Amino acid sequence: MKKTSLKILILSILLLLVVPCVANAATEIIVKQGEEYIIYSDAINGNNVSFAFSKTELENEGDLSNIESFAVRKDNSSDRYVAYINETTKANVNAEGTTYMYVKDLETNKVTKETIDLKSALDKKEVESITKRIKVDTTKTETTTKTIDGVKTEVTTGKIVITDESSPKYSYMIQVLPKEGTNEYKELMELAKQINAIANNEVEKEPSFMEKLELMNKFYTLYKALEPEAKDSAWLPVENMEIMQPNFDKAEDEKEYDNQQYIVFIKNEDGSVIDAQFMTCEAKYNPLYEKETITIKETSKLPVTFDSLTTIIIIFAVIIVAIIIVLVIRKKANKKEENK
Amino acid sequence: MKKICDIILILLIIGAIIFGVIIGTEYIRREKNEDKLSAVVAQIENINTETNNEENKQELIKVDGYDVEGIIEIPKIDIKYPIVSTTSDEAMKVAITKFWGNNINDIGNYTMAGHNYKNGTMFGKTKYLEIGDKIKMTDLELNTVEYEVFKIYTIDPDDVTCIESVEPNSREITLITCTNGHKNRLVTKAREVL
Repeated sequence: MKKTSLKILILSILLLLVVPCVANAATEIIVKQGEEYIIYSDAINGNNVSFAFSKTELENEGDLSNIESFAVRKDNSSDRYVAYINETTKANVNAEGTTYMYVKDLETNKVTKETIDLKSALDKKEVESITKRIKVDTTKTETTTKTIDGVKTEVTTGKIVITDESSPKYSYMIQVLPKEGTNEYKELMELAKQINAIANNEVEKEPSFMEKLELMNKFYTLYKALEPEAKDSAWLPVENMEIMQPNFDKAEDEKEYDNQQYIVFIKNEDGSVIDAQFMTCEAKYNPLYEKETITIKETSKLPVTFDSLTTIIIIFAVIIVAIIIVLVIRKKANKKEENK
Repeated sequence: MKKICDIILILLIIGAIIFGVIIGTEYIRREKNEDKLSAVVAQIENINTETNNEENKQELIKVDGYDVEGIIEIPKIDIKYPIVSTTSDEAMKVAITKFWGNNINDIGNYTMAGHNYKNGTMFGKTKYLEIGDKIKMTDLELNTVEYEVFKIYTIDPDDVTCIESVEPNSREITLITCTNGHKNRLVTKAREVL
């Protein structure tokens, strides 16, 4: 039984990347860490840079002198210089809408304007917790017996066992990914795989820090978009704390399981916690035949099994009919003799 | 003319008596055989599998000298017969016979033959079986395996392919009886219900 969970690997890369969050533009990504927001931006390319925030868009650069600016700082985890929003710098930041961030290169005096939106910033803990919010064991298997082409076969498939006891009941929703073509769920899986590959150093070229952040951001943004609502009517109750592979009781061919990927969303009883598992299922088919004893024997004709008594009864009936006929002939002959 | 008629009449009456006796004798034999087979089935069903060893069972369960391997039961046509281990003209007069295969309920195809008696005994009513009907096979250990009919077809007597398993390494049984007089064979195949 082979079953793949991307859970651990996703977590690994999240840690490697200091847990990225939201980017509101292609060139900057905001990460919320505790009470702070760290802004990674391509415009911040060195230490000789300052930044300032404004709730309104400034008409000209000269207006920058009217607002407080701050020096960028080194982010230890990424070794990059970053802007940040904390108690010191948040005075001009709009918590509910767009904020304009001006980045000034002090060497060239070039000013870059970017827009940021804190509403879309995500908590570091929230990102870290994907696949970990509800504790599960993905190593368990389920073995059932079914008849496939007349052969009793043991089919072993994977399953998710919920080990989290914080809720008495759970619900789940499975999204089976198409083997051909694509959809958003498959795209999400692909992003997870890419993250996986980076975490495992399985990529030809190590992506830059910003590329990694962008990848993670894309993943999480899509994840949030696809995460089902807690009130969705499609949730199914989890029975015995186990979630079987999709169609595990229907597939009659190992190939039906080959590379079959699926995403399982799990929610606790009150819907306050929703999590996902990224799975690839495979099944092991074990025909349960016993050793057949081969008897070498030759036969060239099937036995004769017809009812021979039928023939005898027919002959008997014919004789009776013949007797009647002979009696009639004899009677007629007697009559003729009497007439003579 | 009268003399000829008398001679023919006498010959016909003699013939009628002979065939009448044959029919009557065979009818009585079959009736007695049915009772005997019912007794054998009951005997098998009353085997105490814990106290009887294999040797005793072999000694106990015979029909007219033929070793019995087990019981075939077809609820749909209300028959229940012992199966003897050899197929021959004489054996087939006695019971359902094993034509091909290993032991009852072994993996592989276990093929049986039975007369298509017009009074519906033996395999005389297998023509009424349909796909999905159940057949029970019980061995002398009283282990019963239920089979389900999945194929019914007619073949020539020279076509012996019906003794082969449709699916290798599965439990199958095949019932053979005559149809269309003795020109063809009606083959009923069933596989284990899992």
